[in-house]
Amino acid sequence: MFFHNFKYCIKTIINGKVTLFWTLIFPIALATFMYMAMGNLMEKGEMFKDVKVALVEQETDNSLMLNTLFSSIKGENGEALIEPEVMDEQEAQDALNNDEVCAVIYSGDCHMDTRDENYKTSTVKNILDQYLQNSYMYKKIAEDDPDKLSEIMGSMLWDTVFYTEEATTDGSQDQYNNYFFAIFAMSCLFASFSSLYTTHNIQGNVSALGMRRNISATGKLMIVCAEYAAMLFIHFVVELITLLYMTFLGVDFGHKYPAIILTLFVGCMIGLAMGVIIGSIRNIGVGGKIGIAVGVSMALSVMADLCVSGLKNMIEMKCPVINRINPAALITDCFYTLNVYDNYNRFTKDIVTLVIESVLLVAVSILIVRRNKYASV
Amino acid sequence: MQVFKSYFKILRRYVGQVLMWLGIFIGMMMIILNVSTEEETEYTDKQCLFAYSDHDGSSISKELTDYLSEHHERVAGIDEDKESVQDALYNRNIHCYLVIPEGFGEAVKAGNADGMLKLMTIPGTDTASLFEGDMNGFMQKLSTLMAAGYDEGEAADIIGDSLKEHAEVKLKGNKSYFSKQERLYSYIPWILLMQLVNVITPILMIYNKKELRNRIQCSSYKYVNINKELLLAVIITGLGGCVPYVMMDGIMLRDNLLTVQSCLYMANMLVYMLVAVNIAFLFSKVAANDQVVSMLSNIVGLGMAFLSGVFVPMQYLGAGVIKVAHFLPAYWYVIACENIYKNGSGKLGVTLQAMGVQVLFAVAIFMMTLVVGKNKKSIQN
Repeated sequence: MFFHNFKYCIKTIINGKVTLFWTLIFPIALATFMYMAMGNLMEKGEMFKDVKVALVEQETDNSLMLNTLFSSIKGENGEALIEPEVMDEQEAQDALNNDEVCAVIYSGDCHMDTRDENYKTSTVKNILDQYLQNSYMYKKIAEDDPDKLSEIMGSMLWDTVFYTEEATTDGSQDQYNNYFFAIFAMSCLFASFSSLYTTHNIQGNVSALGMRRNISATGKLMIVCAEYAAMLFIHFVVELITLLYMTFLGVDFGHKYPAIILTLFVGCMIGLAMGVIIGSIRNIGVGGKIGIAVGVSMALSVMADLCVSGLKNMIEMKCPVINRINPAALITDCFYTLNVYDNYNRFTKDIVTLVIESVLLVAVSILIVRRNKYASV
Repeated sequence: MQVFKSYFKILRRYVGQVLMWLGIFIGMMMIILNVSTEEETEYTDKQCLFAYSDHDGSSISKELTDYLSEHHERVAGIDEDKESVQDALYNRNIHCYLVIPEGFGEAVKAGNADGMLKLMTIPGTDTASLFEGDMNGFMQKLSTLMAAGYDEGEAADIIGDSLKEHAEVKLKGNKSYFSKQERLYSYIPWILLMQLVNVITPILMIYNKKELRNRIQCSSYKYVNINKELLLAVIITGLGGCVPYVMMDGIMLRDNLLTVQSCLYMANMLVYMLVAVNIAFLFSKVAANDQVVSMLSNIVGLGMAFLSGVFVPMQYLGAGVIKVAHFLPAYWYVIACENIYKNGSGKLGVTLQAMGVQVLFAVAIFMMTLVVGKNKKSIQN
């Protein structure tokens, strides 16, 4: 009977396309749109490169010095990070208005025109500030201590780099990856729609199928176990397809795929467990239960950065206990730790919490629905 | 006006949906508008968020940390362990974490402090570049002056004196900034489409049901009158859907709704409403049941929102995405919104052109719906 119920549950899920849409098609479509819109966001918005500035020569001309100064700012591979170009004033202003350059620098008095107030223009201004401050310093020293001036100007210490830059991880630091992690969390929690129907359909007082099952010879536990196993199998396969697609799309999950697959498996477990407990709520119709499942899944996913980046971080700062129990936050945390950490400590904690929550939810549901008898329905 | 009245009787069943989408929008707006800041008219330097651990405790390390605290924003409460720093960096709670090792001060005095400071950051980012440039520039000045014979205090005084020099910056409009009103109206393409499709489409589907349609056709009610009343009801629903957002603008944001700019925003929204209503009409011909409506509205609504600059500003979208977006009505809505924000009633041609394209989209979708409806009817017959 176990395999009989298992087989027919799989057929039911595959034929009932609605659940498959929300757990497979919708996350794939959402990931595609997000990747098209946000795939370049960190590259364009945060990385310091291809910064174009226009240099306008004036009577008191520092353009050669400034050109040399800007061109000397180089990246790790020796590429120039700032690209200065000498232009006349009108050309430079037009380039600024058309967003071809981020700033116009007048080489006489070193003043700057810009339309952006961001870190790139602040870096360009910082370079100008240092140029002006150093020039002021030389003048002051020339007036007060002229014998020290040549020593200062010729000092090798101007080329010293006093710091060593250290990356804290080899993984991706792109915070917009949170959206893709949250899509997986949402997709896992949407598995609750399937298990909700299963639990609903073994209650004789709310479902005709439940009535028939209650008078059949097959035990409820057998039915529930078989259907839970079937749903877990289907939803796990769906998550694997989504993972393959997103990896093909170019989303960086790191390289710890066995642990990622385990995360998805446990994510499906918690999603199904949520559906089981929602389905066992008494005296609510299936529409109401679906509404609860949607509301709870979406609320938990939004709190794990599905719609607005930074919400999970804000919750972590104000009330971290929510992130410790929110299944969506735990799933996204698993993806995050696998991506950036080189140990599995936090990952193990998250997985164990998810497994405990799944077992607890299913246990509570069993206590609610077991041995129910109906005098009349 | 029986069909008109029956439409609104059915609409009462979907009031919950309307309120749900309105609630979602208000919730989102409250988060987004809380983050929005007032537009600056004068340029101010951006400051990096940083934290540090000073294991040296010398006067030189103190000069450095004082300088950095004055020019950037220090964040307290972050431990030095790799995981805490990594989490803080990833969530952009800090941009850099500086570790000053023991003996740094003495090494600076001896002139061999190269690479001693440990800076944990996300390499290659503009915040890292700004912070590193500022910090290294200060240390170069300090160490050079000390090497020339000045003591720490004198060197710090000279540097402090020189800090009064900075480049003057003129901010010629801030293209990265958008007003709260513009942010509110820019989300309309997504929320209005979701709301109107999820309300209007199921109601129109009821009138398309074969049995109901056949019974109505048998009656003496003229076909033209039925369609006129349904059209009027749908437009009133669309207008009703726009009212809460205008009220939000007037009440939450306290904007003057009688200015030219506000009127242009509202006109743009009404034009987009026509597009949304026609999309709802198209879906009523294509969808088999309410669940399919929900699927279609999510895919189309979110797809347009992501690709047309609703959720992600257009300046960050790739060139290929922008080319594709030209074929979406939401893109022209966003173009009009941005033009209204930047130029008000100036460059009105751009705004009117964008609105005109939206009207063309509405007409095209309407024609497509008629063709689809006719084909479906002939298949059913």
